This record gives sequence, structure tokens and C-alpha cells, in this order.
Amino acid sequence: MRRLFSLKNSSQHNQPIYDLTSFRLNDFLLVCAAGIPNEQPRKNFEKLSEMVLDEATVRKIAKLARIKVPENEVPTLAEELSKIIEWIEQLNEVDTENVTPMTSMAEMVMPKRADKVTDGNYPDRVLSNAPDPEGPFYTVPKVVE
Amino acid sequence: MSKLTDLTIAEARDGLGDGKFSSVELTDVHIKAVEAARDLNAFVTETLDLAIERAKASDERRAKGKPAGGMDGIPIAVKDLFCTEGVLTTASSHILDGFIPPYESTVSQNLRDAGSVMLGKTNMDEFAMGSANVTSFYGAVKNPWYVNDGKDRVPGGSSGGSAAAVAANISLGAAGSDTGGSIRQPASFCGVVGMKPTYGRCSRWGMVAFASSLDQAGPLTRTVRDAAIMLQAMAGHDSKDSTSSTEPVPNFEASITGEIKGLKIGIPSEYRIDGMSSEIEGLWSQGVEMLKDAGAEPLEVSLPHTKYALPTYYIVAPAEASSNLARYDGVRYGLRVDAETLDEMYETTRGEGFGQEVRRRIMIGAYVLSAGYYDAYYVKAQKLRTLILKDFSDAFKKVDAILTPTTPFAAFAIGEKMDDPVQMYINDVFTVPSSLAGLPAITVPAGLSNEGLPLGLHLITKPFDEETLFCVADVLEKLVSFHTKPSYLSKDAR
Amino acid sequence: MTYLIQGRTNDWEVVIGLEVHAQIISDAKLFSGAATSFGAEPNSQVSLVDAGMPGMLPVINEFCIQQAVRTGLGLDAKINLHSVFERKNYFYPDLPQGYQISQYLHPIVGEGTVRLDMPDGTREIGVERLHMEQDAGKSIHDQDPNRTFIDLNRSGVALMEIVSKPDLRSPEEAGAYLRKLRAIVQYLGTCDGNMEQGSLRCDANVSVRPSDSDELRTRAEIKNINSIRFVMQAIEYEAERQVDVYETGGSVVQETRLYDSDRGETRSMRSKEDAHDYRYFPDPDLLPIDLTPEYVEEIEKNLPELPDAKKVRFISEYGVTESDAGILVAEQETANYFEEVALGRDAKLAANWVIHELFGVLNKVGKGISDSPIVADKLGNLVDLISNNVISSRIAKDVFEEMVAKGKDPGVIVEEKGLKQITDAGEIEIAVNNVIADNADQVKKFREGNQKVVGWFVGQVMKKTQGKANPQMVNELLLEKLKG
Repeated sequence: MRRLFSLKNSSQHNQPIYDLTSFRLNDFLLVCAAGIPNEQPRKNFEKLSEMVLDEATVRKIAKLARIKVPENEVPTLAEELSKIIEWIEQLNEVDTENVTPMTSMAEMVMPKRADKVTDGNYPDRVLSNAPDPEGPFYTVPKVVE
Repeated sequence: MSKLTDLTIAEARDGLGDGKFSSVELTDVHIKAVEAARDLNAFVTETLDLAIERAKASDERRAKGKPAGGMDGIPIAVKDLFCTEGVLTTASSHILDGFIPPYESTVSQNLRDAGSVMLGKTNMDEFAMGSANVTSFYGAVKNPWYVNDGKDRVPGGSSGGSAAAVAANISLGAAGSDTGGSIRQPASFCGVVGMKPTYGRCSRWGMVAFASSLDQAGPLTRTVRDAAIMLQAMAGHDSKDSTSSTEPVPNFEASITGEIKGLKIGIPSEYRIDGMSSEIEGLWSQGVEMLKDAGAEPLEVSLPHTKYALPTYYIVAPAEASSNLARYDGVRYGLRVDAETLDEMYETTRGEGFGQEVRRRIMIGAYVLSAGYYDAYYVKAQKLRTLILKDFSDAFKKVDAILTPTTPFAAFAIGEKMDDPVQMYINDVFTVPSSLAGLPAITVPAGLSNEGLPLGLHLITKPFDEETLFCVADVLEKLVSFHTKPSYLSKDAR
Repeated sequence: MTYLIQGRTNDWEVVIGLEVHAQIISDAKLFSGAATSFGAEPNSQVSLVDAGMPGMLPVINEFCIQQAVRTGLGLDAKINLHSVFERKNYFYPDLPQGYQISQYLHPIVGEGTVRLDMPDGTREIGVERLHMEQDAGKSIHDQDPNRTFIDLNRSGVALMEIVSKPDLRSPEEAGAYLRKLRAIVQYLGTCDGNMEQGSLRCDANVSVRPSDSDELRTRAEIKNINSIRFVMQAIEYEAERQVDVYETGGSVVQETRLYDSDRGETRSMRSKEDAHDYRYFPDPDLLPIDLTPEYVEEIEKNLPELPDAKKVRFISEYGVTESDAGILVAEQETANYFEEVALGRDAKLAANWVIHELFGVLNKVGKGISDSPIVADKLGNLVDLISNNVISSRIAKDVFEEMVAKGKDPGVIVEEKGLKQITDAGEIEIAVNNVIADNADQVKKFREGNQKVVGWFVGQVMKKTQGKANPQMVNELLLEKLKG
């Protein structure tokens, strides 16, 4: 086994873990980004067939996001999204018990506007791009309540 | 005198000031360049008539001795992410079909106010989601750089059209936007300078949102000085954007002093990886040596959470995107696919209107925010972000700037890396950490790959320290002395 | 006086929590500079932000934060110095951004209390929280057979959602809670409380449980009820429906229901059946709201007197009864009106006139006190005329009617019609003498011991004087003369 690389100064051990002889640069970077496991290897990439995001979930989130996904595309999508989610899950190896989540980028007091009417009164501009306007209204297919 | 299209913004500014040529003349040669380079597909919309009109207005101002600002009469391109009043704005998405904004984004307005002349709206990855400009509804952009293997290279993305336009001498500069590397990565792929300012420097008002906590506008130019000039025009506080900074905007160009003696340059060991391609490794070491020769002091620094940046980014950005893109629903603007019921209308409009990568990211975003997963993914990612930010603040206690490669590889061929989304995401491995931390960063073309394609070096500084960034980048640029022109331009001489 | 539903198997208690959406009084919207007034031309009070145009960003209206804090203080609630706007993601055509900017994990106001005066005593109802959020636009379903029309004028208008704890136990309590809450926000000037125009809307969470149990069973949420009466009716119907479900062996499902006021029933909203997953997360376009204690104190210092305090003061300062005081403070305008009438006058008399006579008229003509046909100043004059014995209470009622009809000053009416009370003993004596002279048989009855005829004599004298004679003087003189 030839040692190809290690991530310097991460808390990782320096012994080679993968047989990477056949890896190309891109594969290497993929693994790099996927994170090198500490003690035992993570799931093999082949194992991704145990999908974290199954087809029912794909249908559910497609519905939630109001995106039509043709039925024949569901399995592929489930596989793709699962791969991404599995890859993301490497974050679990970081202990974040006492870390405060970042809430905003800007370290400043939120700016505020005065209670003054300074805008509006231009229905034409508001409606100028509407796909199916009717008089001063936008329209959508009838909503049944 | 060299061709007008070869000028830098600084040179063009001087030429206009000295009356060597008019804005109309300058604009005219660029219009011809735009027309001649249509095969690159750099523009979604050309605004050539508008350009002439604005060039004339610029010449009139100058004739009256009242030039508008630092970029009066300079032809530029604007990424199709910036809403432009009366000019089609698509974000390269089918779903924004026919959308003519009745308003002008703050950044493009600032550029107009500075007198610049917009040549058109540049192609990009759809909603800025991509690193190769292959997800555009308007087709891929070709990188003006190619080698003799018959394959067109990607220009990088998402600001691929902007980068290609600047590299191919179609435009003196271009406005781009950077969420995880969308200015810097394509600039690196196309051999130009690309700069992302501190989060909050440029207003996001009127810029089609991808990920609100990451999106920042910035310039793509041929030189560091040009980037400083252009950022000067773009930046500034905007009361319409709650996240817009009130930090005073310094004179960026004045920060280019050529003097970096004593500055400490951090070399993050986590970015240096055994097995990293020798060309990237070599380029990086060379950069370190050059800065050292110029009197700076290289220092190893540690950014321990670097490797978690990319997966963190791929939680935060899709989560915000899934929400930001909910407004594209076929009701008020853009594409509507007619249907009997409301939900069908939504689903078919969004199903057909968004491309594959955008759909994928919206769904990832919806998933990581959904009930039961929010803490495991989104909150976790925001915690990682805190750690990544802390890594940088710790490092910046010791150093003034950080030097890294911009991309892990040079431009690849159109059609490659399409099978696995994660593989495509790797493009931004070196640019994403500074995005997550909101830091200013710049890429400077620094050399060629073994194949002969450009590679960039990447500098990062503290928040709102663009001055040090420009200063070091300028020194690096001068020392590197990268003057190779894209293959497309030699073909141009045909 | 516990409200129980008597079922076949046992008695059932109803458990109610109310979510009230109160439109914040402000000139401009929560995150944009568009106007908020009611009834404007469709889509005219819409900014590019409110229309969810690409790249548009929210900037908070400072005054709306103040209003929310003021309301929180009025509810005796904890003000959270740190609060966060989050996005509530769902698709609806009148929700242009595809999400509503709201507060979720960190609302601006925490727990508070609303006190209700019920016939059997005071009830304290817990407030769980108050948060700020954007209103949606309006969907109009009845303009076209195939399409729904969208008006975004309301889109982005500032709302406070005030969530009660499940402390309410009867439709009456729910009604009293809403009236009290409305009074408080009206006193504070943070919401006009107008339910017809939708400035105040109510969702009711209703569940039932056996009266001897304290479990919380599955609740149904009745959405968007637009009057207090309907809230009470809807709760009553829904509670009975649930009792019926349980008693026939079924189980109540957690669902959203709609109150149909025409049929007096609630029904399931099938269209909302697919479970919502709102995917809340902090809005990255905004920063957290961070308030200083000084800011809150400043608002607190300037709070107006609220109903509970005012009631106590009315009792002690004006000597009105507790129940009258309760009625008078129920609406701020009534309280103000009353105080204007009562100031420097016989306050009990003033309360009487406001509560009985004025309210009677207002009910009859269907007007609120703000468009009362009689302004407080003139009613005060009437009270003065009575107190100063210029007119009798009986005559005063006639004058009052005339005031309602013509809007004239009572003094003028009394003058014009010569309604002044006769207090001239001589004049009264003549009338008394005449009546006695004309009715010897009645005088005889009196002298034989029938005291009741005195009343009859008084009536006759009043008749002779067109009711203007001072009744007390008439009484005295009659007795004196009759006794001979």
C-alpha cells in the first residue's frame, strides 16, 4: 500500500487508511472533502445504496418544494441526494456541544426604518411582469378552500 | 498604442481623461468585440444600443468637465444576477423568462452612477448554482482558454460569462457575485483577477438571491488595480439592505502602495495536502517565495476546520436557497406553466422552470430544514460556521493575510464532472471557507498548468481589510508578471 | 359557574386556547415603506418588497417594534431583549415571498396575563407569547369562475400574534378574553381592534376532556373567525361535536377547521390536509432585534392607564359600582366619554346616564360611542340640569330624546320648550289647591286613612304642571294640605 496523502495537522492519524493507488486527483479531492475517518473507515461509497433519503422522502420534499419530479426520475434523485446528504454527515464527527450557532454575518445593530410611507402606489410596476393579470389583480388557477 | 480592448480600466480611465479617445470610441470597439465573440456565449442579453447611449452621455459629461465618477465611460459587463431596470434579467434561469425588472439593483446603479457603460448581462450558472457555467438555461459558456485537444474548457462558475468576457477582452471589467467562490473560481479558470469583498461591503438589494448570508457582489478585472477601481464604484452602505455595512469605504486604489515589507502572510497547513498536484503545489510555493522576497514574512497558520467548510456550505447555501427561490412560483413574474389547479401550476412551473442542479439544491435545502432534521443539519452547520470563523480570527491574530491556491485544478472540459454533484462541489474547496466567514478574498492569475491553462493564487484578509488585500495582491501580481493571453485572443488575430 | 357539557356518559370540560392576530397600528408596513390603510385600490399599497420581487430585501419598521413591546407591557408580559425573525416557509398565492417573516424560537414577548371579570370572580388567563410577523395578501375567489384574484395590499402589514395558554374553559370566557384583549390593545393604541376589517382575527384551539380529568386531548384548530360572537358559537359547536365523537367511540383528529357562520358549524378544511412543514430558520436578510432595558423602560413610562387600573380608579374616585366601572372601562372611548361627563359632577348620576340611557340609544341606532349623537359635553350639561334641580329626572328623559333627535344643547331645549322645573311654592300651591278642590271624594278617602291616594294626587298635580313641578315640593305640599 502506497501512502498517497494525509491531511496535515488535522487531528487525524497519519497512517494511510485507504488504498489509494488508483486514485486520480479528482477522486482524491472527493475523499478529501468527504473527510478522512478517524478510527474506522466510513461507509464505502458502494454502500450508498442504503440510502439516507429514500424515494418516499424524495416525493415528500419535492411536494414540499412544489417541484414536479417525474416518477421515473425519483430513484436517481434519491441516490444523488442521498450521496450529498451522506457526504454532509461527516460534520457529525465534530463535537459542537458548546458551540453557539452563527446567526448573522454582520456584527452590528439591525438598522431600522422610520414609520413613514415612502413606497408603493405603483400597481402598474408591480403588475408589469405578471403572467396572467386581470385588471389590478394577479390571478392564479382557482383555489378551492 | 495598443488596441483599445487590451487596455486596463486604469489605462482607459487615463486615456478618456486625457482625451486620447472618447467613450463612444472605446465602447464601439468593445461592441464589435462582443459581436465577434458570440461563440463564447458570454452574454445572455447584449445591451449594445444602451451602451452607445450611455457612452454618448458620458462623453457629454466629460465635455462639460463634469465626469460622473471613477469609471465614467468605461464599458463593463454585468452578471445577469443583478436586476437592471428595463433590461431582461434572468439569472440564467428558464423560470425568469421575460422578466424585465422595474428597478435597478444598488450595485448596478452604483456602477451607472460612476459613469460606467453596460455592454450587456453576462451568462452564469443558473441562480449562481454551479462552478462551470454549465447549468445555465442559456447554454454553457466557453472559456477563452483552450489547448489543442479539441475540447472546449469551462470558464468556471457561477460568474462564468463575466470571467470569459473580461479574459477575452470583450469587456474591461465585469460585475460578478460570489457565494462560495463564484467570482474567484471562474476568474482563476479564465486567468483574470476576481475579488469578493467583505460580506456587507456591497449591497445585495436588487441582486437575485442565492444564499443571503453568503452572497456578495464583486469585480472581475484584468488587474488588481482595476479591481480596486471597480469595487470603489460598487461598494457602499445601502439602507435598503439590513446586512449592508456602515463601515466607511476607504480609497481602495490608494491602498496599492507596492509596500508589503513586514506583513505576515499565513500559509494554512490544512490547505496543503500531500498528493496535491505538483502544479498547484509549485504555484503556491512560488507565491510564498515571491512574497517573502518582497519583504513579507510567511508563517504557517492552522485553520483546523477547513475540511468541514464544504459540507457546511452545502447545508447552509441550499437551505437559504430553497427559501429564497420559493418566490419563483409563476404568479407575479417569469415563467408560468398553465395548469388546472394551483398546486399543479406551482409544481409544473417550478419543475420545468428550474434546471437539474437548482432543483437538486432546493430539495437538499428543503430536506435539511425539514422537521426532525433541522438541528442535525442546519444548526450543526451554523455551529461549524462559528468554528470556521473562529479559525480565521485566531489566524488573523498572527497574520495580515492568508495565501492559498484558488482552485484545486485548472479549467476542465465542458461535460466533465457532471456525473457526481459532489465532485463538482470540490471546485470551491479553497474558496468556500472564506465565504462562510464573510471575509474579503481575491484571486490573481499566477501561472499556467502543465496543459497551459491559467491557475490563480488566492489571498484572504480580515473583515473590511480590503486595503491589505489589494496591496498584497498587487505586489503578487507584479512579481508573477502573468502576461499570457488566452488562446482565443490569438485566434482573434485571424 | 363551571361550563360543562353533559354527555351521555359523563360531563365534559372544554379546553380553549386562542391565537389572536392583531394588526399593528402603523403608517407603513413591517418591512417596507408601503402604506397600510384599509380599503385602498387593489395592489396600490404594494412595494417591490411586498410583491416578492427578485433581490428585494426587508428593513424593519422601528415603530412596529415599539408597538409590540408596548403591547407586551400591557399584557404584563416579559419583554425579550433578544428576539429573532425567522422564515416560515409555505406556498400560497397571496404569500409572495414563499415564506412569511415571523418569529418562532425567540419571540419579542414572553409570558403574560390577561385578567377577566367573570360573574363568579376574576379569572387570570395566561399569555404564552406575542410575536411579530407579516400579514399575507388577499385571495379573492368570487370574481371569476376559474381563477382566484390576488391583491397584495395587506402583504407585509405588521401583525402581532398573541397566543394564550389553554386556560379558557367556556365560550363565555373566550368571549371575555377577546373583549379584554381588544380593550387592552385599543387603550395602548397598538391595534384598532376592528374585527370586521380584519384588524383582529382569531384562531381557536379547542379540545374537550372528562370533567374529572386534567389531560390535554387532541385539539382542533378553528381558523380565522372574524367576530367575538362567532368565536363563542364556533367553540360551543366544536366542543359539542368533539364530545359526540368521543361518546360514539371515535377519536378527534388534529386538524384545521373552518367555522361556517351561516350554518353555525365547523368543518374540516380538506385542502389543508397535507401536513405542513414550515421549515423555520432565522431570516438571513435580517439581524436579531436587540433591545436595551432603557428602551423598554422608556416605553413603559409612557404607557396609558389600562382597563384594570382605570376600573379601580373609577370605583375609588367616582364611587361607581364595580359592575358599572367594569362596563365603563370596557372600551377606552366609553371610559373617556364617561370621565368627561362625570368630571366635576355627580359621577353616579353620570354613570347612570351613560350606561342606561346613552347605551340604550346607541344600541338602538347601532352606533358606537365614538359616533354618539350626543357628545359628552352636552350629556354633562343635562346631568347639571338634573343636579341643579332645573329639570326633573323624568323631564330629563324627554330632553334626552330631543337631544338625540336634534343634537341640541339640553339647556336650549329646556328653554325653548319651557321645561324648567317649577320650584315656585306659590305656583305649586295653586295647582295643589285646585286638585284638592276638584276631588273631594279622593280627599275623603285619604282622610279615612287610605294613604295610597297620595300617589294619585301627585300624578294629578304633575299633570296640571305638565310634569314640571318639583316632585318633592308637590309631595310635601299635598301632605300638608290633605291633612288639613
